[in-house]
Amino acid sequence: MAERYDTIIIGAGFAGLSAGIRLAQFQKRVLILESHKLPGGLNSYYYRGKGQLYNSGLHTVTNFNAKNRRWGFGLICRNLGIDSGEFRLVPPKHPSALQIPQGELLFGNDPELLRASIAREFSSQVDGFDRFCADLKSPRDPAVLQRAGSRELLGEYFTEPRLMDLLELPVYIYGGYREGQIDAATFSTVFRSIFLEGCGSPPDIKHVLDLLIARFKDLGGELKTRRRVAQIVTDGGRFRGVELADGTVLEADACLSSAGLAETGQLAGQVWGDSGDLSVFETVVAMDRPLDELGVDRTLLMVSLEPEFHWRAPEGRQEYFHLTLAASDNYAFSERPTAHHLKIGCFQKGSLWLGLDEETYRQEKLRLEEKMLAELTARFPGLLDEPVTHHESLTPKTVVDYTSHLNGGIYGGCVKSFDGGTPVGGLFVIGNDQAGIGIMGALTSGVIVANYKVVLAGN
Amino acid sequence: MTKDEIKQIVLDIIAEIAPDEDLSDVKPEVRLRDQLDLDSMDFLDIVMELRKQHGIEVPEEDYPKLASLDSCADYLEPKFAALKA
Repeated sequence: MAERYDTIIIGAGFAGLSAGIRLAQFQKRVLILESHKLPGGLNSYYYRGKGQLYNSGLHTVTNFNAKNRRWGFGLICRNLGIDSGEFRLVPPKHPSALQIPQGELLFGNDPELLRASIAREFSSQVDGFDRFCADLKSPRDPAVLQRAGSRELLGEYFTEPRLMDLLELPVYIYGGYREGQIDAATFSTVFRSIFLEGCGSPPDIKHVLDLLIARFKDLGGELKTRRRVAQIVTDGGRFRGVELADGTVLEADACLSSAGLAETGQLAGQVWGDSGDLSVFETVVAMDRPLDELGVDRTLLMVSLEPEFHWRAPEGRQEYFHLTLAASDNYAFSERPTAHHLKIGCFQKGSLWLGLDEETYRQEKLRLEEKMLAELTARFPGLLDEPVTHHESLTPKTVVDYTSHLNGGIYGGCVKSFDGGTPVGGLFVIGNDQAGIGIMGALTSGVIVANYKVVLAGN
Repeated sequence: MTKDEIKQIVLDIIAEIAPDEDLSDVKPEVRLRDQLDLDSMDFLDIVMELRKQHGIEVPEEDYPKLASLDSCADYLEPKFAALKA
């Protein structure tokens, strides 16, 4: 007979782990299945050289100052039963910047920094900015916002297109799940999470993953790694169980999948959503000295290289319209970090990187990596004075391998299931495709769907 | 355990979950959600604390019975009594 669980969760990323912790507080048998050796999905870690730890994914963690129990970091801690201090998040020690060819704005964990920057560059727009921020704190009907685009929303507060470009830039870079416009609800959430509540960083991603896994196991949850789900078994439109790649069948009353809406549909033999094609190429550079001693005086830097901001990925693998930079050690850690990693990335159509022969893939990767390194040193020439101890690149193909998102979509597919529901009863999506963007978004998605769709719905 | 003691246990749990709420004037016969800023997630937390602190299990179909302090006391009294037995 097949082994039976209350709930099976597909994927031990941040959404899967948070859903697992929440459910294990109410249910006796909760199982998380992870196809890889390590947990985390996109936000994971690996070792290079002499045991040097590298984080994939992680740039920053948003909602740093959100301690309200209904929202953001506060909501997560309360639902997971983990004290906020245990995450060991610390704030940035340098400002971050938004750049377009016409100029830049600075921002940081004090919203006043961005406001002052707007007042300097766009003095007529400050009132609109104040109104926008005030309205974000008392969110409007999400159903209405989900139908509108971000530009429509900004148009209610601002008249300067270049300012709207600058304000859209970071939100799209950290949550632009499809080309063109994203919905105003996701836009508002990400904007509030970055600008009003600020960012922070844990010492590394492994610390947070270990913390979540320990909590899950303490509550009696079961985590199985290297178990790939090959098929979702349904019966009369209702979830019944999963079949693993090795043929094992596991049954459960409910299933939460972080594989993506389209990808979960595929596992269930159905066609849902749209997996999208917006992925990323990112190069990480390791230095021997703190990055700010080498002139890297920004924590995050987001750049639109076009004079007008459009959210799109180029048709060629060697082109790019946007850059995103993240300095891993520019946070106020109490102990001096031993790793000094600088990431620079650009957005790519994932499909362009799939199905290449090995040599073409290697050449294309090397060429784009050279360009990323040149962009990096053009902005921070001090880096040229020091030897690079290690560098390597992640491509859309890497994202496909580690997340199961078909074209390496880093923010999930083009279609979101805002309530987590799917056409199969008892089967729900969590994470990116339930609009859970970023690490905090994924954690939130896990607990919300667990609460409302499983615990309260009696699944 | 008396009904008043049970009401105090529930109030103590609410005070932990929602430290900003003023609990000095909670009317026992009125639904908690009508007088306090509590949502369904808060009720899940009340259920969990009852289990953690007192070993009381509240199945999901009984959650509506926790609506007011009076209904909590009526519903939980036999459960607390069963614990002692």
